[in-house]
Parts: sequence; structure tokens; C-alpha cells
Amino acid sequence: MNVIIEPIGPLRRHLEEGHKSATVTLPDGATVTDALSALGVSEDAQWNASIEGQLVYGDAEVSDGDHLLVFSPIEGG
Amino acid sequence: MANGFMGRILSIDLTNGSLTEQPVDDSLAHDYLGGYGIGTKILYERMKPGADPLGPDNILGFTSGPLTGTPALTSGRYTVVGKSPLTGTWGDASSGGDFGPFMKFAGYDFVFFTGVSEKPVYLLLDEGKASLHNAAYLWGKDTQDTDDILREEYGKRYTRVSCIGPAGEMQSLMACVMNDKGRAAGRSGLGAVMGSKNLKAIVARGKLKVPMHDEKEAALLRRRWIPRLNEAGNLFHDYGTAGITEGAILTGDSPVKNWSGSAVDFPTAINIGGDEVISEQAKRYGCWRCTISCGGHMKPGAGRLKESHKPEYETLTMAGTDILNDDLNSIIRFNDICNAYGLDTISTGAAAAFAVECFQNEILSVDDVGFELKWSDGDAVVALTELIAKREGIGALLADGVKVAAEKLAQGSEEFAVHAGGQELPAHDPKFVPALAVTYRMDGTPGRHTQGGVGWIMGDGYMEDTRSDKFSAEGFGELHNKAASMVHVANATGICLFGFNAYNIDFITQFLEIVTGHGYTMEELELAGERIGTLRHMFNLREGLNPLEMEFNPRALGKPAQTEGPNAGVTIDDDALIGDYLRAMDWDPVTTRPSDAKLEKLGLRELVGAS
Repeated sequence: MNVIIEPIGPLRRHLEEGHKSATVTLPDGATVTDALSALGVSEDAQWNASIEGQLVYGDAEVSDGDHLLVFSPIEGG
Repeated sequence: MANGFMGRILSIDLTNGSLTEQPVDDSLAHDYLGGYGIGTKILYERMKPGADPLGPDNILGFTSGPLTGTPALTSGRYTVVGKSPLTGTWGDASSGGDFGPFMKFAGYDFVFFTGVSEKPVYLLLDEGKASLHNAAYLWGKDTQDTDDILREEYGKRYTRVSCIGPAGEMQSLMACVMNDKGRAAGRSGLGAVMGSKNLKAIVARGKLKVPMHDEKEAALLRRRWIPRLNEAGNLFHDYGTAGITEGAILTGDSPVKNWSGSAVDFPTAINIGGDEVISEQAKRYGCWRCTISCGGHMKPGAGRLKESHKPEYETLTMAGTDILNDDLNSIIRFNDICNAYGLDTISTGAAAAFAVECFQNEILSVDDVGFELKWSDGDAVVALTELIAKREGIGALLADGVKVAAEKLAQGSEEFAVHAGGQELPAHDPKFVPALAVTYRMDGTPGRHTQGGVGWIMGDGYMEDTRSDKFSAEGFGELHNKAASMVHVANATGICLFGFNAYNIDFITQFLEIVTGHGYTMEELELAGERIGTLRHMFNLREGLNPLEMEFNPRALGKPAQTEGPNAGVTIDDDALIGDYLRAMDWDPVTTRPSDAKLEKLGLRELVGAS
């Protein structure tokens, strides 16, 4: 299945220059963590993620066609 | 004279126009650091309890820290202090830009105003000379025109202006003090205090240097620290605080639908998020010599000011999620109106959300407002903000904040007034950051997100939250005091909280030593921070204001718990958190007065008197 990952902020460094998102191909049953690993995000990285406006955690299963938004957990402002 | 200071505390009685100066005493600088630390000491000593916040006995102070205007990183801050007309408590509000450093370059560290001028005036600080001038020709002008006129008059290069707009002149309790056309000392309603004194502006002109213990080493130290910006700093460099918006909304940190909704009600967070904001930015800018440079000027757009500034996270959410408004241009226009008229965007957004909920519950009508108020209507937010700014129609009701508006409206509208003791809550939800349930109530300035808290603002490399989970009261109090005390240190020394989070904590101690010549230990700084925080609290107790008796809207605590969204099922046990904090602080569990032993330890017993 294919999942679109759209990082916001510094996590963009995992994308090719000039791109706003990337599509990763994953096996059935793959999780959010699996999707981010496929993009090259390290296991130690801190992030929050959402699908269709709902917060999702690392162990949540992703589905074909999901659009995964990943953003910094930094608070403030 | 203490290094890091120009050595002048200026006191002005606006009733008779007298100006007096005193030096900055070494022991005062050591014990209270500077900024609102020294401001707290001076106001506690000079102001009588029970002073009318909008009367002649309130004292309005402009304060800078020992690091303000030095090579120390992110040292562009100044803080306005006074008794808040919104809450009746201690009030302060910090701002960046250039004005703070220029106040020092003009020869002054602190300026305190008492009394009321018969006619509008402005104060000129000019390389060690101070004078009052007629401001009748500026009265009624917005903050950007005021800034332009005064800088044109005194020379743009070495002149900066801090002023109020029409909102402050009309004493809107949500009025702020503005500088550099887009930076705001926003909270506590101190723009109204400035207006009540008929004080339009302070003009700081000069190019004096801040005396330092080792000027050459300070410059070298800066060069060594600049490359050490962390990920938080890089995010703010790239996006400003707008960069946290989507994350904050989706995790449950941001208020939604006047604190009654959740992220589920606002699935279009991305429309007001960092990337969308940056796509509207013409150019990034920074406060005085700031390495983060989180500010920005916006591209021209429909209805925008000629100099339109990038909205902060707080503005994006208080005029966005809190009203279910994902129309970014309306938020930029809202920000422009607030900047021009001199209104706090947090309080003004909260007032707009309050009005919409009142309308939806038939407490307000088209006859009252002049148009329909509904959720998700950006144009209505802009129209309402213009009325608030001009204090016209329904705007006159809302201009003094949600507490006053609810008292006038009644009919159950109190439920929709989300505030702590009169101060509208900012856009960080205690259900997501439980420590803020304590900070919002127990800090000297109610409803303040720019004060410390465990799991909140803890600096880089300073401390960790070692509790089992963020809701736990076990061990909370000690950690919370540690976090809060160090934020007082950053604020009092003139350091921006974004710098506090973006560089390792060691930069503050190192710059303090090089600039002041005094090698503070971390324990000394923590004690100074606690001293400052405790004296702000004592100011409130002297006014008869016990924070445990403060009005606090239960929506912010999950009472009742939400049924959906990231904070579903969460109810904050604020009694347990506050109880542990009072124990750790050695404050009485009922009166909240610190024990005599604690006051003695902090060196405050003589000042506040024994119990």
C-alpha cells in the first residue's frame, strides 16, 4: 500500500529538496512508525502525527492512501 | 555602579511633571537581577495597597535587564509593570523588538510613572537627559503613525518608540503597549494604565554603550554561542511561533470553539499553520540582534496594513481555532487591527469567541451586534475587532474583556467567559499541559503562559520532568518551583524565552558573569527567581487577593471532561497539583502566605513584615 507523508517544519529535511511530501510503499499492517522509518526518520526522533486531522500514535496502523501529517512536538509561543 | 546597567532609575510624577533620578544599587541588582525583578521591589515599596489601577496612585514602570542590549543572545526584551486593571493583581508584560535596548542606549534602565498628566504627554529619553513633551498632536493616532511621526522628528536611526494606540487612550482593559509597530507588551491591560495617565509614548534616542565587566569577552562569547542554536530555535527561525500551530491544535494544546470544542471540530488546522503563514510572509525579521529572528512582515493583501506583521501562534489560535476560523487573511487583518489600535490579541480573540458563543445562545442578537455572529466567520471576527478597537456599539461592551462583559450581560454568559481572575486565558490548554492549571492561578500574573511550569518552559539542559506522568502531583511542587524560578531569571535579566529554550541554559550564567562581573551559581539564580516570584505573590496578598479564591473557568480544567478529541476524558486534579506546590513552597495551604522561615530565607521578611 502507499502512504503519503507530509512533514511540517524541520522534519522536512527527510524530503527531496523542493518537495512538500513523499509517498512510501509499505506492507499491509504497517504502522505510523514503520511509515516514518521508511522515510528515514530515526527511532529517536520526537514527532507528533495526524491523519485527517486526528492525532495518531506510533503503533497506529496506516491504510492505503492515508495522508500522514508529521510535525514538531515543540511547544511555546 | 552595577555593570550591565546604565545606572539610572528615573521616577516621574505626571501630576506635577517632576523628574527625579537615583542610581541602580549593587545589592538591589544582585538580589532582584533587573527587569520586573527590580520593578517588583520598587512597586511593592512605593505603591499603597488598594490603589486604583487607573488612578494616579498606580505606578507604571518600564524596565530592562542587565543583559538587555548587550551581546548576550536574544537580549532584546523589556518589561512593562504596574497594577493590572484587568485583575487587580500584579501586572507585567514583556516585549521584544528594539525598544528595550534603545532605552538603555538612551541612558536609562528603569522609568517609573506615577500621577496623571493634565494633558497628553510623551517622555523623551535622550542620552542621559529626560524631558516631558506635549503629545496632543499624537492623541488619537494609531501606534504605527505615532511611531513614524516621533522617529521622523528625532531621527530614525537611533530612535525607538514605545506607545499606546487609541485603545489605550480609551482605557480598554485589553489595551497593550506597542513598540516597533508590531511588538507588544500585551498582557495585564497595561496600555489602559498608560492611557489613564495621559502618557502617549516614550521616545528613546541614543547610542550609549551598556557598561560591561568584560566587553571584549562578551563579544567573543556571543560568537562561540551563535552556532549552538537547537531544533526549537531553528523551528522558530524558519516559521516563527506559527510553526507550532498545527501540532498544538492536533495534540489538544490549543483552545477550540471558546474552549468548548476539540481538534475534531477543527480539521482544517493546516489552513492557518506554519506553511500557509510563511507563504504570506514577505520578509523575516528579528528583534534587536536576535539570532532566532522569529518575526516577519507580511505581503500586501486585501484589507491589510501597509506594515503588516506575521501573526504569532497565540494570535492564529485565539482568532482562529477558538472561533473555528480557518480564514488566514482574516486573522492577519485581526492582527493588524490589534497592532494599530494597541490591543492584546489573546484577550481580543477571547472576547470575540465569547461574543460568538453568547450570540449562538441568544444572549446577544443582531440588534445588539449589528450583524450575525457565527462560528467559522472570519469576516465577522474582523468586523467585531474593529468595533472593539473603536469602542463602538457592541465593542464598548467587549473592550474591557470577558469578565467585565459577562458581569454586564449576565443571563448565564459567565459560563462563556474563559478567564483567570479577569485575564483571558492564552492558547495553551491545561488539559494538555497540566502544570498550566497551577501557573495560570498561582503566578503573580493570572492566566500567563510566559511563566514557568514543569513540563512547560524548562529551558534547554536545565531540568527534566522526572514524574511518572504529566498529570502526577507527586513531586510536582519542587519541580514547578524550579521551572518557575528560572523563567523569572530569564525575564528579569532581559532574555527572551525563545532564547531560553533555544540555547543551553549555561549561556545565561556565562553572559551574566561576563557582563555583570558577578559569577552567579545556579542556586543563587534560583533563589533570586523565587524571591521575585514570591514578592509578586506578596503584592497580590497585600491587595487581599488569594489565588485560591480566584475565578477560573472550569472548561480549561476539563470540568466536565470532554467526550471527544485529544483531551477526551481528561479532568485536571488542580487541587492536588496546587496542594503539592503550596507544600513545596512552604506557603500556607489556606491563605497561601509564605512561612516566616521561607520569607527569611528569601530575604523578604523585613520588606513584607512578619505574619
